[in-house]
Amino acid sequence: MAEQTRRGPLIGSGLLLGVGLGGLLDGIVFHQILQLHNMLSNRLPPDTLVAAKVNMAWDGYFHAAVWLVTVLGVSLLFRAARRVDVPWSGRTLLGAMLSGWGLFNAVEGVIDHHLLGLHHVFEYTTNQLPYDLAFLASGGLLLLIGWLLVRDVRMRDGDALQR
Amino acid sequence: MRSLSQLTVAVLLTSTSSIVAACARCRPSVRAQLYGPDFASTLLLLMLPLLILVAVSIAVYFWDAASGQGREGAGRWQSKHGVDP
Repeated sequence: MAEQTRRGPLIGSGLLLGVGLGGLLDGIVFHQILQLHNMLSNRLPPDTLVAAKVNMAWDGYFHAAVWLVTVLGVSLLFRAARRVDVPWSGRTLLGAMLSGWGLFNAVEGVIDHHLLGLHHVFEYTTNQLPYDLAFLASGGLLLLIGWLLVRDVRMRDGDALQR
Repeated sequence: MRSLSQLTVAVLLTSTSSIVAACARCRPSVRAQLYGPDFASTLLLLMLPLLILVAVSIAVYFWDAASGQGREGAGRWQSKHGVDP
């Protein structure tokens, strides 16, 4: 009887790594280097020293959380690597990581920017919507590229098994 | 030259002294604003997207993994698919 392969563990851990590393990149590039997209900046605009420091502290809690997500992703990837029924594929992992990053941008964008209004990508303008929509679009694009990579490997594996 | 250096140091110290004083003064305000009664609810709101994403990822991880339990530890190199495509 042919042994069934399971890609869920590799894709799940890749998603977690994508969420964690995408969140860390967001924090480094937007929060710290560009000084934008702070976690609470729509409720507490960082226009005084105290407000900026409070936003910085909330950014820190967020960075700590995405660091923990990254550690969880590495831990689950290690577990997946020890299983004989999980096909090992760098392309699947990369696709899952890009999908995780895209999901992060999409979910964080919809919930924080649009539903809760905690912050926007670029606060210092009268019309924040284009920047928020561009952030969502980047999430959709990353998700699509990641999904195509994962699907491509699945189709190749299917072809190989049929031969 | 030496007097120029002394002047530079003096200007730097004078110009930044207000910031140093502000930090000493603003720290209690920052703590008060941060760790107020709505700390837990704000933290939960900020973590909401991450909690959803972690739940989805773990669901994907275990979605078809349950029947494969008990086969851990053999090493990925024994897999018949053990190479990158």
